[in-house]
Amino acid sequence: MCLGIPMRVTESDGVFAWCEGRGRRERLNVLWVGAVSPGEWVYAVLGQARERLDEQRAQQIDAGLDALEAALDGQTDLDAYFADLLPRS
Amino acid sequence: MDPGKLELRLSYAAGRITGLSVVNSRPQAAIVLRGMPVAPAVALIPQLFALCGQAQGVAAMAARAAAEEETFALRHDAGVAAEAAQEHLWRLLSDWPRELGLAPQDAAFVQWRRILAADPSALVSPDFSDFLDQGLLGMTPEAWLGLSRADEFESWCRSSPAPAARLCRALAAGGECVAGSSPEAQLPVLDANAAASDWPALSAAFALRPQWRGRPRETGAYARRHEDPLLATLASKPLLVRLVARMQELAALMLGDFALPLPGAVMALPLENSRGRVLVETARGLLMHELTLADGRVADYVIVAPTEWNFHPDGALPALLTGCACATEPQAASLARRAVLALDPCVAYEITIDRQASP
Repeated sequence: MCLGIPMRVTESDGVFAWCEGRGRRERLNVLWVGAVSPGEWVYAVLGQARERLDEQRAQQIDAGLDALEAALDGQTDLDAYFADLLPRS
Repeated sequence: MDPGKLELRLSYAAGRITGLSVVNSRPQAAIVLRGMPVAPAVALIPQLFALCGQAQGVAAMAARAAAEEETFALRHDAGVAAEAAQEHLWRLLSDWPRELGLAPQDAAFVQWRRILAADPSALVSPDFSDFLDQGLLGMTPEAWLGLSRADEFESWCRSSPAPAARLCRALAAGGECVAGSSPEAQLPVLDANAAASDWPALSAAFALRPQWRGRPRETGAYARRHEDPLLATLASKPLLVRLVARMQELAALMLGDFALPLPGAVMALPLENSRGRVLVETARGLLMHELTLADGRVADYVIVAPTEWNFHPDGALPALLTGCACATEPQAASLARRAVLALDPCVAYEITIDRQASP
């Protein structure tokens, strides 16, 4: 389902950028988002930086992906991963 | 988190592709939504699936509305349409030219991607019409969509200096395999009754290997437009017909020409037992969401995405490739890459070739 991952730019030459996220390091094409600077967050899909992300959104997506890994691993109580999305009662 | 990939293994013997196995390792990510309160679940979906985030977001909101039995009229969503146009532009301006050895138009892509992402209504603007005329088709979208006869189309394809015509010429020069797949293998755009009765309930197993009326089907621009008179005459050229279908959709989106279904169509179906099902037409084809609610929480959530239709192990890709004559292994790999691009996956893929001894 078109899953991508948030990655943080470490170096960029304007056309491609080396990025790191979720334990991976990848050289992304930045055609979709234009020039990026080290420290910026992007959403990486299919070798492309598809969207710029702010840090909060990058962390929300990261939490969602953590929850997904846990769910695929058989865990059923995932509320802790969505602390900023779930209403506390 | 591994986003997964498509592993495509071609069998090649005596100058022919003799078979194709498709292994899809994409995680079924909707599982993560089970048990969540419905509001954050709906908010999370476009975050997790941001590649077609507009379509996923609209589908999730409409699925909730349908599960709560709110009315949600059939509608055309301008944001989903503009998102689909960006995907079509990417393939037509950047990917297909690279695959065919032509100059990509990256600057034009970047410009229109920004404009359409910021303002979906730019899709129907005179400026976008001018771009399609001067930057892609070599004639107005209206005049180009009017090329309904094979001889008119062939004349344009043969002689126009426009980038889209160059794509058609380059594809033809590479040779097509006519093994092809039949128009009957296409998934039509269903009305509400058929969409509810043909699939009584969606499941995770269905989402992995979806079928319609007993067999896998293809979804996407060609499936939506396969009854178009010009595309019907091009059906024996399976790669060209899918490329031209995408061009036609861009022109039709710009014109707001709804004679055939277009990306952006959203249909929501309230079903029994607090279930809501949504069908959204996206660039790559039909996206379905089905939400089952229990006590304000997600009891089940199923997402059926276009890639699982188009890369079904017994579906369109093996039909396009099996039996095709290719003089060399690199030619077989090239044909496979083009067929994959024509079916437009939203996940990375890998092609390997198994050479078999000649019989």
